[in-house]
Amino acid sequence: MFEARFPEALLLKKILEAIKDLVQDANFECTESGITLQAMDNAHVSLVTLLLRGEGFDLYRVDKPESLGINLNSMSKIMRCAANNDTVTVDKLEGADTVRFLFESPNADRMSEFHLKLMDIDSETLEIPESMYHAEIELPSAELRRIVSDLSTMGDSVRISVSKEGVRFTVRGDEGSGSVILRQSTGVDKPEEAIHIVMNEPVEQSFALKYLNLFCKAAPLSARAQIKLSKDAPLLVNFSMNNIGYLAYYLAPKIGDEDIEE
Amino acid sequence: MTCNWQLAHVLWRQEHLRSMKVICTVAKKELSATFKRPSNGYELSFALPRPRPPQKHCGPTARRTAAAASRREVSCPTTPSRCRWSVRTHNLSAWNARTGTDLSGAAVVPSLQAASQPALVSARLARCAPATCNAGHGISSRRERRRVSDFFGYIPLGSFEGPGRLLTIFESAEVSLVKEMPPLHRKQSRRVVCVADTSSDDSSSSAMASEASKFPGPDKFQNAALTRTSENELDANQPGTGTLDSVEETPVYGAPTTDASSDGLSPRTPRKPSGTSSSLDREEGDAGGSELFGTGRLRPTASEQVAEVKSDVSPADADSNHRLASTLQTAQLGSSEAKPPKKRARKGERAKRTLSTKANGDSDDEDRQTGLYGALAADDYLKLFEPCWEPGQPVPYSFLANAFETMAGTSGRIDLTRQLACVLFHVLNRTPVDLLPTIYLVINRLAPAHEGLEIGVGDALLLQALADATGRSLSKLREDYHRTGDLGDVAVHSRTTQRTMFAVPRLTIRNVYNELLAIARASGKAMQEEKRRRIQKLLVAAKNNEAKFIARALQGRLRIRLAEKTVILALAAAFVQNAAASRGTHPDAARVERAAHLLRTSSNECPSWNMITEALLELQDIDERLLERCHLTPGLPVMPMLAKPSRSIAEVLTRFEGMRFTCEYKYDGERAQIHGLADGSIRIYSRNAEDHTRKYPDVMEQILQAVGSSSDQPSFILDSEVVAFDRDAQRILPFQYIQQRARKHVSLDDLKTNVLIVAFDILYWRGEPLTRKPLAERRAILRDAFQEVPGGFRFATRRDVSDLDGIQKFMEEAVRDSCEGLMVKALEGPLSTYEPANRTQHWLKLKKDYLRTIGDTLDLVPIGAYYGRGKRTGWFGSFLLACYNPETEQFEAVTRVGTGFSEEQMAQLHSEYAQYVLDSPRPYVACSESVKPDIWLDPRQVWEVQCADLSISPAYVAACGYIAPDKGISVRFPRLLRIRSDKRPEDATTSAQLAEMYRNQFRSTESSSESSSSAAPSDEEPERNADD
Repeated sequence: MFEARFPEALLLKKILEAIKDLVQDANFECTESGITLQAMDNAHVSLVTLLLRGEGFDLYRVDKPESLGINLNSMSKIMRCAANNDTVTVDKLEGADTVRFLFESPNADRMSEFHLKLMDIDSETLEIPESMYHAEIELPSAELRRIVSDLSTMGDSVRISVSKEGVRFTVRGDEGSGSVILRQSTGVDKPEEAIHIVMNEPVEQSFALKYLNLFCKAAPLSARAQIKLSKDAPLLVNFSMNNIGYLAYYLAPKIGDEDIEE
Repeated sequence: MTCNWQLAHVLWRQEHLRSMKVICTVAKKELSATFKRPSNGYELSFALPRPRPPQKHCGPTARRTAAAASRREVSCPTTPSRCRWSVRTHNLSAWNARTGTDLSGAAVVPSLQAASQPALVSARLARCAPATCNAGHGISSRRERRRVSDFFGYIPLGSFEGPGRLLTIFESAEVSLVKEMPPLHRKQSRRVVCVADTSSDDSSSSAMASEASKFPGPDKFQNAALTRTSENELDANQPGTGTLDSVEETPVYGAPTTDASSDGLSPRTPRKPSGTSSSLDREEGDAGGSELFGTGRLRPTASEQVAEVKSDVSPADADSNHRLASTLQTAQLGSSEAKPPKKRARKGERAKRTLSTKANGDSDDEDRQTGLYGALAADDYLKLFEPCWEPGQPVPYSFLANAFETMAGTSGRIDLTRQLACVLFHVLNRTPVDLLPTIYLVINRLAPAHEGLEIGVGDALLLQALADATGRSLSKLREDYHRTGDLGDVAVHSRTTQRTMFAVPRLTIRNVYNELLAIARASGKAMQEEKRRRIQKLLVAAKNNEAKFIARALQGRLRIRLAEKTVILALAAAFVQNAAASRGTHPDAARVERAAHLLRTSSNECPSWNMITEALLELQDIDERLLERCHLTPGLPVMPMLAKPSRSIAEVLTRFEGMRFTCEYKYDGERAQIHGLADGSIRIYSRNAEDHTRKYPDVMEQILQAVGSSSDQPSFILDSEVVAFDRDAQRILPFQYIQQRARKHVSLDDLKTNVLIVAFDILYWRGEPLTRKPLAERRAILRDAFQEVPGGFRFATRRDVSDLDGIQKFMEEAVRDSCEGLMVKALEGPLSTYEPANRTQHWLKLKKDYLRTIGDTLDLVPIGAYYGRGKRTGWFGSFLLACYNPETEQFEAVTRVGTGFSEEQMAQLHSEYAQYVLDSPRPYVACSESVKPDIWLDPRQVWEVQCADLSISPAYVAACGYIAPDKGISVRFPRLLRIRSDKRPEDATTSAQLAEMYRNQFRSTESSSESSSSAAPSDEEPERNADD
């Protein structure tokens, strides 16, 4: 028996929106401490990690750890049937091959119930070594989304370089090129707009904008985004959701990129 | 100059010259010789004069003397021999210098020199090291050796054994001297001369060695060498074609021989006799020399031929006599040799065997396989690719991809087969469960043909998936694709721009196959998306060259030149090797050949690799039990038996001489193989084994009527033609009516055309395969089991005529009854079995238009178009057509067609082809710059084209290298007959077929070409040849 009640459907909707374009099928691992999801996209270029702590739920109960293989698209369709402020209860009986979604309106006058078939998805849990990053940037998630979508108009990949002056995003495409520079700012008036840059070593790497664009779909989940970079290591983009958990993306860099380098 | 000058001249002008008689001087002695231009250079062949001073009968002005001399020789009672010498070169001046040959006096010379140097061939010859050992082997006597040295100015250096009868006496990079002997008798052939290793192409030499090693076995499967030579002989002895000219043209020394030598069979350097070829040196020794030369045995053949020729000759015809003289002179050589009389009796036996060998399967195939079985019996090639996985583990795809890479760079069929056999052997040996997916990946198919499973991935989808997998932009990929023309290469070179998070598990053969299968089976509205995702997954996991072959597999073109027959051969070899390895023995060529034969038979009758592999893995070997397990089964369509085109009734009569045969109408419809299953259901399959059951609901009804209304339906397989039929007029309608029918989901109500089933053969009846029964018996069963249904089901109209007039008359009737012509089939004997998937000589087709054409129509694929002018402005004016070359998997431009189109058809084609217009030609299209079309078209359709004849052309690349080294074959006066929607582009006429037709048009018309190719075309019937 597994049961979890989300206070608001909106959160779950946002999470699904942020993952489903990257990954089609994924296993939700439900343990006593919470729900985790880890999956790579088809190209094995990016990896998404989701953690939802048990404490974040209205109700959370796991008798035995469960692995729920779910087609995210189908789940997203079901979630669309819930109003944003409905409570969502997800439960699965021991040995059942479906999972139940129960939507209840705040004043308890409407209840809807959906069952979703579970799938067998073989995926191994991958260990991502926690490493010291050469550079860490914390910025408003809206800002990140804007940069990524702006630069996407020009080309396919972005070169992120962190130096003493700040962090520079460069794009070069067939029609031209562009760049955005962000400098450290404390955001005296609005601390939520502050940009923090911690640089241990200068870093410069290229990434596919297509993936960054998909990552930015998580922006609604969190006001702030963290970017961590290291030489020859995947980029980490982290959106933390206060006390509930986080949604983090890893992205492998491009090498010898033809679109940027001559 | 004693050749038929007019003929030679005409032929030369048409670039058709293949051979002519010339007088040349060899070592200052005049000789009458045949001068030829095979594809790889020049060749002069002649008979060495006997030790006594030769008859002084030659010289351009001495024709009468020559005639007299030859007449004398006709009556000469000495034993003729058929040994013949030839000097071959690709370089005229080197030839002259080396041999003292002088071709002056022959008007041919300037033209010859104009012919370009075949670069390819010289490269190949240069690779061969001169033979330098065992001086004099192959020279039967001291006397002969002296003769040779007298004539050529050097002592014969050495020799090696080619396939049966070729001895290269001397060979340098430029000139080779070859002695050709009559086919070796089985017993004597055991003695094969061995020459020490001079490090050359390993595979070809071992091919040769083991070629020889299989001679000893008194196997019922005839060795290929014998087949080849005896086939030539058969040609020479065929009375019909054996008019004087063809005797003179005796192909014994013609194209097939030279083909063989250029295939690396004869003048290469053999290697040291190894364990597998131990039989070689068994009887090596001088004593064998004279036997090797062995003329005695052949005496009856030769003298018989003489007699035959003699009776045909009018003595006044000096010209013919001269030709005859040279034949006889040839034959006389070596007449003084010993000739044990008891062996004469074998001649008849040999001739019989010859016939049956020729009958069993495509002689061309056999030709090419010469030496192959031996090469596969050795075990050296099993180290070509080292297995890189543990026994029992899934086979990594990289093993296959690496092998593909090597194969893509291999051109020789022997090498290719050995490489593939090596791959299959290791898979079989270590992980037998992966054998089936391996086979499917190799032949680039997913399931048996009748399941109709196709990958169905377009270039656009593949490019999109590639972009997703590699992180490169679509536009860049497209650019690359246009530049390189090969998505495989694009895929390989695109792998580097994007890193992955974690190493992706290596691809294994089984998961590649399963993914491909899933891609092909994807359906529903998200089909494209699912396909794209799966392709992306495959491409992401692909390392190094794996991506190349995955992309190519998805495109449906592996481009490694692996025909199914190669796969069969390699698989047979792999099983033989595996069985031998487990027993600790060594396989021999006979075993391989036998296994290949069994496997070929069962795969023809049971074209499902699933079933065959399953049976093989269970049996762990290839033997007769395989035929019991995998045989004809209703519900499993076999490729139908096909017929060879025939040019004249005379040819037919020659072919079936002494046999009972029958003529049937050749209906102009669609071939249909109708299966009746034991459960009462009916299936109808097309000639490509596609399921057409849904297309012909009416056929089903009629069949049920025809088979009778018994409660339990017997199982059967019928071979038939479905034709459109006008029931009111009781008339057969043209092919187009059948084509108008939709391909699927036809319901009985909306049928516009009635169809008539014309059954002509039965392959299976009441649980019993009938393919090996003679046609007479099959036909009796057919007529017994089914009954005609008026307007629905009938038996093919047939008549068992046996004379020319009868056939001619029947032919006229067939044409009057709206048929295409006749099919001629043997009723009894070895030629009368049903050979699935074979275009054999067993069945001949005689089309009504054969008169002035090449005997058959061609199926060609439009690959380009030219803008129209005048009346056709704004439309396509003409189309560039191509044949298909399965060896290179390319479409090769062959001609340009602009006639045969109705205006309305032209308009329709124009709009239809608008969607197939390409910016640049497909990479698998070959075309020279000079005939480049204005617009490239995607090779999609097959057009049936009629033409006048075939000619050598420098502008068209079709069948380039088959006849002339750097020229192709073109079709003259093509005319569109119709569009064949029942054929795929890959089913078009092949380059090899084209080359064969080209050769055939000489074989049977050389006698008449004198008159017919001169300015005024004559109206005489082609049968006149035979009447004469």
